[in-house]
Amino acid sequence: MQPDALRDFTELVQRHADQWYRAALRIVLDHGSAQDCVQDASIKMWSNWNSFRGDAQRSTWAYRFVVNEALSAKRRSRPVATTDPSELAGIPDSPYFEADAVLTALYAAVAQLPEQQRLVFQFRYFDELPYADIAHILGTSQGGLKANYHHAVAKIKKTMVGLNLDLHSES
Amino acid sequence: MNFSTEPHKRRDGIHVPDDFAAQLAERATRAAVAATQRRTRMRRLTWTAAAIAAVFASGVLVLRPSSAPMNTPEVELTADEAWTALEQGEVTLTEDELLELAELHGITSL
Repeated sequence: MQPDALRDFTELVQRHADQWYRAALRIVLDHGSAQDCVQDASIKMWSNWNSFRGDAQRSTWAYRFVVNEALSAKRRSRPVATTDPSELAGIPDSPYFEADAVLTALYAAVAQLPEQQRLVFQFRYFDELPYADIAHILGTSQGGLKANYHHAVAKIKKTMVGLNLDLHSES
Repeated sequence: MNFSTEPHKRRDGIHVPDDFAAQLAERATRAAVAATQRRTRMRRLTWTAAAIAAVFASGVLVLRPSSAPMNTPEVELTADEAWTALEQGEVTLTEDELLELAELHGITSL
């Protein structure tokens, strides 16, 4: 590998490690696993560094490695349906996660979504990624993503409204 | 990508401290470079082992003795020597071989 490539790779990791950790954490919901995902994804990024074709930004290309690594880790760690309440509620287990009641409810609503809708919502709402980037990360069409996002928002709204009503009735 | 850059205003509630992000980046970079070096070293070792094995196999093919039976020098044995050996019980002959040997030796009755 060229020294320039190593410098570019190092800069990319330094600039995006925070975002990669957050994306991985929202998928695997575990602090340690999220760090492992970032590390394993970085290894794959570097070993595939020269295969980058330039059809997206390098950061988007890299983000895809992180997401794929996190999805694989999640599937590996949970071969059967979980009964862990915090995992069912989609709450990240990390010292860097803080949530008020509304955000906790939002996470719980997001956790109920099918995987594709959940990912699209997270990338769009939490990371504010453009559809073009999300399409590249997930390898799907923008039309499909927009439809998924629309459905996700509708379901979350419904859940949140119901939850707010319950909270009001309790107080 | 258009990420929000203010850590304290993350919509997802995950607030990553700068020092943690820096450590994570350093660890990930080091692991990536080390893995590549390890893979390169493994590839080099594999090639070396394959080359040694190929040289050894070639040597074995070139130097191994032929699979054809070896030509041993024939032993000359006269009829008298054969008869003496027979008389001393050093060889066992079939009936036909015995008759042939007796004929060669000029013996008409056994």
